[in-house]
Amino acid sequence: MTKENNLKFDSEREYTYISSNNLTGIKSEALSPEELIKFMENGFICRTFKDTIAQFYTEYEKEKREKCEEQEYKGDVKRFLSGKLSDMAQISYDSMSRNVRNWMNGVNVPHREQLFQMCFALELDERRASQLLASISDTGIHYRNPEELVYAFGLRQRMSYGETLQLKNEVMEQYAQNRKPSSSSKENKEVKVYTRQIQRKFLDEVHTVEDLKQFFDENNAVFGKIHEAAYDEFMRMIKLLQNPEADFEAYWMQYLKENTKYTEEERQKEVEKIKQDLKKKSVEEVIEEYLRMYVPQNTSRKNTSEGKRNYTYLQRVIKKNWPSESTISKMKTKEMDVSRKVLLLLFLLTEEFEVSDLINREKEDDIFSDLDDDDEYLNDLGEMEDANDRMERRIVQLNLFLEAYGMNQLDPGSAFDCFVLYALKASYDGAEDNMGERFKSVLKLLFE
Amino acid sequence: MGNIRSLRKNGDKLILGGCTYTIKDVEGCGGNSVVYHAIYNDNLNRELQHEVLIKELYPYHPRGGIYRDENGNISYVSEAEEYMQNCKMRFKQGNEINLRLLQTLPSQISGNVNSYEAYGTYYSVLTVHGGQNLENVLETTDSLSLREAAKIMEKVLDAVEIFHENEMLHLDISPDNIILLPEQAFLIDYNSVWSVSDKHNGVFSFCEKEGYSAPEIRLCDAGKISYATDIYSVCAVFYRILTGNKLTDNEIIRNGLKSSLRANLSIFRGEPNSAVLKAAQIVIKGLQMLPEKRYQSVAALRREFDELLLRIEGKGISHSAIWESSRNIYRKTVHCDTSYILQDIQNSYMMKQISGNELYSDLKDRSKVLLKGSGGMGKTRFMEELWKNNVRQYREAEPVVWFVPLKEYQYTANETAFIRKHLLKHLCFSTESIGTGESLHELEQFFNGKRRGNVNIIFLLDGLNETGTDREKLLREIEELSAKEGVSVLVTERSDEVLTYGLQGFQSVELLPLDQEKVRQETEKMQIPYPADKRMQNLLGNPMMLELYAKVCGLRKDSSETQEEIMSISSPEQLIQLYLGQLLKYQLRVHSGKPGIQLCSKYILNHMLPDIAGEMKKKNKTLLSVDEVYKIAQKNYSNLYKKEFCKTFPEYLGKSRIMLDRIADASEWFDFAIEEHLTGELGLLVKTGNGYYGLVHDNFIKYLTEASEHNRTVYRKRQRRGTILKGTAITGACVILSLSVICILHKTGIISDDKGPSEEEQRILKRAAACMQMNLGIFSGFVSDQKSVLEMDEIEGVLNQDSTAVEEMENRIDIALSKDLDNYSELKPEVRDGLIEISDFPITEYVDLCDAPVDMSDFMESALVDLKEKMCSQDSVYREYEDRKALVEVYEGYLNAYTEFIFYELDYVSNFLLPEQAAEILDANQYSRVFRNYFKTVQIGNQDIESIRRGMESADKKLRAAKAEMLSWNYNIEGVK
Repeated sequence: MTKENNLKFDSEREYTYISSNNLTGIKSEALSPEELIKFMENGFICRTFKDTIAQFYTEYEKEKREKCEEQEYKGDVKRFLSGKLSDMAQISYDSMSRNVRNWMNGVNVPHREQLFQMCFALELDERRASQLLASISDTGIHYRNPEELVYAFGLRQRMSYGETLQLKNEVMEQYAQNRKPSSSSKENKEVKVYTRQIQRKFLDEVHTVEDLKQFFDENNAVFGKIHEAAYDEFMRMIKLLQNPEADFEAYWMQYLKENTKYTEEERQKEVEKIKQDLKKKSVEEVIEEYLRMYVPQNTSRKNTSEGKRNYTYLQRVIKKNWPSESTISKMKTKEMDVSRKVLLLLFLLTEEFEVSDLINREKEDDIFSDLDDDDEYLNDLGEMEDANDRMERRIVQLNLFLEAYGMNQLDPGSAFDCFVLYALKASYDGAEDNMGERFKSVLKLLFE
Repeated sequence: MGNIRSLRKNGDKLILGGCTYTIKDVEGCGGNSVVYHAIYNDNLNRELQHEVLIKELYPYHPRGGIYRDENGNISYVSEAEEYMQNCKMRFKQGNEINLRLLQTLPSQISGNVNSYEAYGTYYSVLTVHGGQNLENVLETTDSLSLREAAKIMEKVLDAVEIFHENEMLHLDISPDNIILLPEQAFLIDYNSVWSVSDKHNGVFSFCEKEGYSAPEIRLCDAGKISYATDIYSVCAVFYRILTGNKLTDNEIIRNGLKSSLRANLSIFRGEPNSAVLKAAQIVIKGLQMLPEKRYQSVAALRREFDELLLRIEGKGISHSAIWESSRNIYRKTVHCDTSYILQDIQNSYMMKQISGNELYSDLKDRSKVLLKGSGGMGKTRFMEELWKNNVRQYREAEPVVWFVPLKEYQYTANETAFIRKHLLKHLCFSTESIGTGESLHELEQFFNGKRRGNVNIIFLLDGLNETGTDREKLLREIEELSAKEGVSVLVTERSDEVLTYGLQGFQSVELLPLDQEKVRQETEKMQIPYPADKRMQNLLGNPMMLELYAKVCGLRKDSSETQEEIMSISSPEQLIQLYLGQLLKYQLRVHSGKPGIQLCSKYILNHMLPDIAGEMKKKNKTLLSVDEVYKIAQKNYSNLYKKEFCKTFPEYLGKSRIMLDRIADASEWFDFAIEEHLTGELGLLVKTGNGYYGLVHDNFIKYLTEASEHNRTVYRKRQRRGTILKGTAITGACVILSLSVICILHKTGIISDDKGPSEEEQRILKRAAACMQMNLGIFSGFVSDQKSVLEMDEIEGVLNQDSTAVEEMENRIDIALSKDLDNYSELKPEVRDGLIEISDFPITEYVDLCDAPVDMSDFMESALVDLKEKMCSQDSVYREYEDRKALVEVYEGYLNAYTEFIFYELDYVSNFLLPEQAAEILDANQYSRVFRNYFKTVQIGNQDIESIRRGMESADKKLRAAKAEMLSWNYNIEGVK
């Protein structure tokens, strides 16, 4: 068996002051939704673009010092960014300055191309570049995106942005000419290729320009912007929400067998009736019922005489890229990548519908029946946990979940992620609410 | 350059450190290295060779960036340089770890002879250990047993422990890095080994291996890496062995781990439940997301595997082994197809009601309880329910429940340590635990221990009332056990009388009947009618009666006849009778068209089953051994070939052929009747774990015993009939018509000239009178014979145990017993039918009079034999004068009462005979020794019918009282009048 990717990571988890502060605040006690909002508005420290870029810039300068190289901008990250990016993007310094100011002030965030430019400017390697991208946007380097693959190569090879751009144009032209369609028939027949597999191959095989071109040639058909694994998971969870009781059939049959005197035929009739009542929901109904969560759909930011709202920073951060019916539909048809936000929301919402335990739990096969309420036994299994334990466990599971789909882990410096963290903890504080409901109740308070 | 590594060929020479190695073949290829099997010549004995493994650092590069050149050296292109350097660093690091560990524990680490830099790369010369890579084992072996899996894991833990003891973490534990040898396992590939002391320094690189790497490795969280990280991987390997699959994200992220550990996994099949649970527990805890929730050390995990092995082997006296045995016994012996009805329990001492759960809680905590309740009240069922709840799922913290059916004590010849031996018998012992003495000692230790505040074991001792007569040792054992720290006892009895002299400290609780509300609810649930009759309602407060009632309703749902019968029931025996009757009808219906089987069913239910009950009654036991039951079956079988038996029960006459068509002999009959029918199909017999047979409930004994007695009586009657009357035992054989008697009869108006029976009727009456008179004579003779025993001149001598007198009595008794029913006159069917046709004729009393000699003969056979035993036997316990006198007196009292009753019956019947016949009979009897006193005191012929009836009733009461007296003196006359 060959080993998988060798991982490099620092000896200490990079919990910055921001992350520690926020995590402590959420963990410290059983916050009510009102208290959470209060904390988020007062005690929470949001890791903004400014914080992230400042951190990376500091490391950049440190490396320069260690190499005894000249530090042109001497700690002024704004000037640094304005200067470097204006060259790369070939726009005026002033224009770029404005952009930088907006980013720094949280007015908006840079797009992917600009983020890559920053990576080149900061002379980041592939790994650190992925971290920067993940911190500011939804994901790190997307290894199924051919353009980002070239950028990754450029960063790996320590090429300049210009050189990489040139290479990109060359490779993309070749790619466009030789592009093999990833037809539906092929997708149906073949085993799907996941992004991580592409990533691994890219790490192992691509070391020269020739390697890169050959790589493109060989894997042409599977490039696409869609995270395949994330898409599969997204579809599974959407289906679950559309038809939440579908998998309950076996559960209902068992329940009726144990608690009624129905014959087999009568039980089947009863289950059919139940299925009729729980008809499949449309995507619109799913959005409305589960994903709306009190987040307004309108994008207006000004409080005008017509009464439109002026959103706070917290509201804007949460509202940004909130899934609408249109985005979900596009994700379904693969026109759009499944976003991290959507994946997280669906994870929270479908947790209660994960009925694999119930479905297959035939009593005779179930080793654990009758023991689930036995505290001593749960203790022996290591499953007795207080609210914080459970939150920690859920954090690990959620991070593994995100990591499996090539997305960055939960970040306590992000407001949205903090709400998610709150949902992970609060749902097990003896309250009846599941994670989705708890999340919803916070948003209701935030937006009403 | 290609992308395939070019390996060294067989026969290639490698010179490392001045030694020339010859490559034999490729042992294996990893991502970074190739391992060859090689040999080199011994320096001294050059003809002999050493075998080694040579590990060559030759990282795989897909584009062939690292390659072997034409000189056999490992080279690389510039782009692959960094990668190659990295690999070299890790190879060297791993080598260092290997060597350091070898210094400490040479026998437990894969051997490393020497390492070299040569041919552009690194080489290690390693010792050949043999053995197999675990990955290969799992792929080539169909299935391992749970025991084998546990043994493998123990070896793996030993290997891991080496690292941990040297403050190192392996961090790449997976089946392909485990080499299995017969006695041990080695961990190989040290490239990811990490010193715990280096934790806080610098940047590290580890290998992520799908299905085996802990979350903290996958998430690059160095701060959380600890010994528990290796523990995770070890448990992931165990998971792989158990399920055959690597861990996936579904198990880890979506909490699907428990779902994937099913009891029906092939590795779990046939394994004790407690072992399966332990294996699953190891996986669940070892694969916890948070490192601090897992096992924290190899030692802690090893203890779990040790416990797992104990449970698999089920050896010795351990909590899990006893639980496992209890569960197996429950599954084999308890087959309840009805749901349990909750009943209240009255705590006599505290004067309050408690629930079953509260009682169980007390038992867990340590207590000794006597649960009383009448027959059928549900004591056994209650205990079985407790038992069932306990054996449903193994829980380490809970006591084991051990059920002992005390009726089995009947057959233990009063042994000591019955309960302990009952337990030990079912446990499997290791060869180390030799002899009962040692195992008893282990058991005592178990009894003295507690677990998490609870007792270790709760004994459910069922049926103290069924243990037979000599139970002193049993009581003592129960008292001893209940005094142990780790033992609780719950024993059932019909009453708590035993507490007055035994079972000190036991608290008495009573299982209460079902209240009417519950009875109503249950009848509703069972969809059977709730009876309107109060007696029946009360009867159904007894759960067993309720169950029987439900069965009766179930057998004939639509029968209105059944409904009527049910409504008339007022006693348990009646309900049992009805149930058995309905059961028979049901069997007949089921086997409709098969007359042979139908007859067999009838025979089994009407004869065999009562005989079994009769035998139990006779032996005063509630269980019969196989031999005893076989004897009954044998007798039963042979009866079908006896003419007399079949004439007595003519439904079987000439039917043996069709009944026993497929039954060759008595043993086949035993199988058919006892095993298949009574035990199997009908469930009326129950077989204990020791192979004894008991009735489904001992409440059936009384009714069935009576049925058995009735059968025997009828049969005996038959045996004494049908022979020619010879000689006479009638005193005053000449029939002399006495005018005075006739006058008396006329005075009473009994004889009337107004009505006259028809000629036919007269003829019938005449014959009837003759028959009755003949039999009364025999009756008198029997009574007279007995009186001659009781009133013998030497009776005082007998009472004083004078041997001569006793001998005389013995002789007289033998003489009396030698008399038979040779002269008995059988009532012909046409006479009986004729009498029935005569209006108002008292046929019952008449038949009773005709049967009087037979009844008396039966009585004599029991009572006289008893008398002889009591008065004449050397072993008799009746030594006291007063006792012996009382025995004689009660016997005589019974005879007198019987005679008086017969007299009144005679008086009564005579009123319905023709005058001349009546006169004849009365005349004949007035001089008999037996009746003459009555003729003196009672104005026979002078009384009206009502007076005679009153006389009869009074005589009947006296007779019953006399019988009770005799029974109280242990005369065995249960079945007689």
